[in-house]
Amino acid sequence: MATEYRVPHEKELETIDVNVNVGPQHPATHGVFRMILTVDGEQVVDLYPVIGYMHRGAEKLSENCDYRQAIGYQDRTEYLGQFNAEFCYVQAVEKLAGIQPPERAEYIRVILTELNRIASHQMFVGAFGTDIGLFGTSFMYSFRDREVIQDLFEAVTGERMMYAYFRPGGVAWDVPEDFRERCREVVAVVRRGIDDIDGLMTENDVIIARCRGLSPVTPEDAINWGLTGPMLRATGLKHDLRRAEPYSIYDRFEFDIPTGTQGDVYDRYLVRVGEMRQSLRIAEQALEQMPEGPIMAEGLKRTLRVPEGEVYVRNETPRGEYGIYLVSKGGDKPYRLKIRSPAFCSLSALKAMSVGTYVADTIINLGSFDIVLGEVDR
Amino acid sequence: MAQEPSQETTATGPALGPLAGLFQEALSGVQMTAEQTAIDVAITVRREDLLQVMKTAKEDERLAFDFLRCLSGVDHLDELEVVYHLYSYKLGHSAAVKVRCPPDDPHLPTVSHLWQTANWHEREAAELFGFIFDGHPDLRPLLTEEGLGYYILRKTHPLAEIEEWQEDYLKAAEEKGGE
Repeated sequence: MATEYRVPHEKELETIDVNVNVGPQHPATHGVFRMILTVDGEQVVDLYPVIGYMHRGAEKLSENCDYRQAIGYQDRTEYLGQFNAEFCYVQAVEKLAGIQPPERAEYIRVILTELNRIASHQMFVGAFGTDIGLFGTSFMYSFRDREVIQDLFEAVTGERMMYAYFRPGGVAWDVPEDFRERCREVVAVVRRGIDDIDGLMTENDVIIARCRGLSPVTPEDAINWGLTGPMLRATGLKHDLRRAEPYSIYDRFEFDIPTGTQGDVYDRYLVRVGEMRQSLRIAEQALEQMPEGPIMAEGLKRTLRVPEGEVYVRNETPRGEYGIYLVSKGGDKPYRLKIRSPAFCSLSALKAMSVGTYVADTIINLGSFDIVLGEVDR
Repeated sequence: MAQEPSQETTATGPALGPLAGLFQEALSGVQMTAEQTAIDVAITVRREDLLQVMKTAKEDERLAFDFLRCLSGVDHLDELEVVYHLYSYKLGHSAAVKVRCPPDDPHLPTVSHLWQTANWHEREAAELFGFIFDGHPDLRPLLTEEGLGYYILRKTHPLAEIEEWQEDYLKAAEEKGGE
């Protein structure tokens, strides 16, 4: 006679959902972000994201200082894509004030912005690998190259993080004399580095097993949830603001828009790696075409006064559509400055994208958002 | 869906873009004023018509705004304003819709059932400006502590004396709790 195993009846076995708190001080949350998971065994049944730990009132502060002082707050808001954020802000001021920056300044801006995009994606790749379990290798690879870019930025601006280098009407000062050669070196180093990362991660069985098919998003949902940038392109929608609504001088460059097919975590990674290569292409073309000449528009007053009006300027930053809604009522201060933060909008979809997955997958899913908490909380 | 830059989005200058006409066509009978900002056309509507305007903006074939890219509050001292920046992936055009309400009656209908992304945008506007979005599923504050009692992005809120404000607030809260 076979052994009789005692099977508990449903009545006897009582299960309850458990709340698990992740963060705010936890390396997997990429900053001071907290999420409260409600789990049924290993499965997430509810998720409540808690943000605001870094809310410093960047918008209010910007409204209380003059147009040039407010540049510094853009760096502190988007602290991984500082040039991207500055670029968006100075364009908003220029649009309202009717300033046309000189050609050379435009090219310097584009080169630095594209390199900054790569630096930001390097950060993503490093942290993403760590989330999955590659431990330090991906971090080492990506930070080795990120450091090269940072060194270049330091040589140009004198800062490693808070550059405040773009100004309404141009850039603060001219780039060093060996800028072109140094940039070419950086581009070569970074290109090799991307190949290294590609070799380490893209075809990695562990990564494919963990990321393929995880939290897929359809293009319709992505639009409805307000996902932009790489998150949106991973769903297969070929939409890049640099192409769809070209700003600055982006209509002069040739580049492709990498897209995914399923909108899952793996596609989001692939899109970002593809974007790094495209940014290199843009930077190379810009280096080729960069003219000599002035770097600041002429006839600007010491105190910038902007006529009445409003504008919503949007740029393609590493995390998606970064928008500056600037309202001026005349005078030397912005009347209202609203920052449309792409990571904030993506994060609002975290719950819908995480429910039904496992706890360990939630961490990878969050990592694939590539959030910057300074920008989420502002 | 790589779209070529359309006329609507690149048009600048005082001339009204064609979108203003489209709005009037799709919403005949609704009172609205249009103005051209540096990039987009901005349509100002009355609060009563907002829901109808937004529904049409999303569902009408000529407008087809499937994406709410930004929602911002503005404090004009005598009035509060909400600006909705819309974009159509289908047609590649963008526009802004504005609505105003008095500061002592900041009720507006929610649009979070039309665009999911409005959910957090509205929560943020509610906590920083004091709007009340009727019909919103969960209007808890996002960025600041719950129940601050004041709205930090309003122009009447001071920038420098916030420390004192907080002391007053804590004292008042203590007294309230003690009763």
